[in-house]
Amino acid sequence: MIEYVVHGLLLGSLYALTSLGLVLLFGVTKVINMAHGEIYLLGGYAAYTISGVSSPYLGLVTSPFIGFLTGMVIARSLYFPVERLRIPEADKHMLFIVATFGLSTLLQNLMLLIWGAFPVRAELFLSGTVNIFGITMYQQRFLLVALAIATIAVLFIFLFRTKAGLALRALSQDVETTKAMGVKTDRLYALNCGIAMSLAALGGAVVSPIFWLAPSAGVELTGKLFAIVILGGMGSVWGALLSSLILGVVESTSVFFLGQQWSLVVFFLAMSIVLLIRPTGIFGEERLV
Amino acid sequence: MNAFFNVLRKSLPFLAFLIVLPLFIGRESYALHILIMAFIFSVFAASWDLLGGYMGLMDFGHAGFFGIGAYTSALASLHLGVSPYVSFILAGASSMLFGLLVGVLSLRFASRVYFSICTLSFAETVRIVCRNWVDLTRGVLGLWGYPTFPGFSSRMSYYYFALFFMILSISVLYFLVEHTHVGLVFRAIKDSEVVAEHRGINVTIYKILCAIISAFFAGLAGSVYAHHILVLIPDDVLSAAVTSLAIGMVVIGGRGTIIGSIIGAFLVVTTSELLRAYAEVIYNLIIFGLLMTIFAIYAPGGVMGLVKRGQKQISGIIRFSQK
Repeated sequence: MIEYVVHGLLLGSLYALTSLGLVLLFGVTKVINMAHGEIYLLGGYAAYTISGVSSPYLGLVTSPFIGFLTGMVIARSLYFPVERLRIPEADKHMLFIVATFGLSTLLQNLMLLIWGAFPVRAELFLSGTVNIFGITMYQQRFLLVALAIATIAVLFIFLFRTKAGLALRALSQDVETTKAMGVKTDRLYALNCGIAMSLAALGGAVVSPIFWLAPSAGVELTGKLFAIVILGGMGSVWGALLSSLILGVVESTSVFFLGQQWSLVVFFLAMSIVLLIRPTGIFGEERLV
Repeated sequence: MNAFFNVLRKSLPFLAFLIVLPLFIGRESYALHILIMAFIFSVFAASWDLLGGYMGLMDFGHAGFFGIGAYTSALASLHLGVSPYVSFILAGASSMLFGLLVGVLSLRFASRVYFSICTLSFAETVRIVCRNWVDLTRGVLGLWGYPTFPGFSSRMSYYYFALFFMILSISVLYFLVEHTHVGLVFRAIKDSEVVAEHRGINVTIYKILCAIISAFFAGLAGSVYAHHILVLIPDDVLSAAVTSLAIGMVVIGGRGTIIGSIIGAFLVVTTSELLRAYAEVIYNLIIFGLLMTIFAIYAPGGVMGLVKRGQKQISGIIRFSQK
């Protein structure tokens, strides 16, 4: 049983890493990214290719950069033009979400073209095991947890201890006031988008030696990430962290009882229950109705 | 009412063309199959347009309703032994039921994002259930062996059936959104939920109503698809690619005009079929995703909007030259 909890926490740290991107994006810009699962896969595939020709550590470093650049490009080419349209605010967000959905179709088929439909997995580059508190873990898997914790720690330091992080948090509360304080909001939006995507890409890169990658898996992951974000409360960073771990453990135990293929169904049921009983999620404070 | 018949009168030449077309291109021509798909996808896209264009609710799992319609129709006529006409109605009804379910889950909140999220997960969930519930749906092996609509077994007769289905469904949808009180309410809610609420409209009820109607037509389209193709594979009818087809058609054709989704459906279905002769389907989908992204951001009015803008400019030039 303990292995399932450990494996669940492992999954949870992957989910935490990737879902934080969605939380940042929703928290600051009130939009969601339908192509998040595809960006994750893109990071994974990039790491897979780089580790095939060069050092796997290089792949681990390059993938987040690719994600960051993709995010910047998305912000510059999709988010800013939409913001300038003269239509109601809610409609702008919806157009952006449609555009990211188109992007997801585009990326999914592009990856299908480049890497093919068959699942691929990078070579394991750490083969030993580590022993923590009596639990034996593969080093490769331990790297995932360690990197996730480190990245999230850096992200929190950035958000709560730097000026740019302060500006981001201000932006998520009130755009007009933030602008009045002399913050260059355009740059922040682009930065935020870049960070969000680089987190997803890093997630893909870290797990590329552990889980199989296939172009069609992106949509399922996007669905799971949304379930996590809703369980934690839309836009709540702490909620997303906690619900990632909860749903990670739930998934790994449900795999034991039902089988891998039903995990999204479990996520969907969990999301439905949360939406029915406590739509604000675990930590959400936003007034919903 | 008069305005409605005016639009119908304007589209008469187009309809007459479609009616006489099979007489010239042959009774079993492959082109008829493509046109049948265009008819089916017109209705499917128009039902998305009802939600996305008139209500401002982005449904990213419309394939879920389409697929549920298709599977309900096929399974009912296979296992329950009912006539496909009955299962056609059952398909619409079961899609409506799921539309209600998703609506109740996600439309009670002020943020419209919840609906997008819920529909995406919903469609993926339905796809996974259909893939893995092999006893019922035969999973990826494909569900086949169910009958088509009695009396419409030849391709030409099915062509007329699909054409009639499209004309009827599009007319009902168009009449609903343009000429009834309900359609007015939908557009009011899209423009400003707060104002609509202040006018005493129960916004949530109307949103759910819109989701139900949209799901109903998507389910019917799924049923017509199922009895045309006669093989159902979960990834063919339920994957996100099917949803993106519907959304792309609406976005390329023109959002918030039911007519635009017909234009989009015909454009996308015929051009992708023509391109298939030169390149693999995958290039098609890449171009399609790119077009969808570009249209959504840089030409939110779609082809309809571009045509209207062109007309305005031309008439402006004419007026200028007359002075």
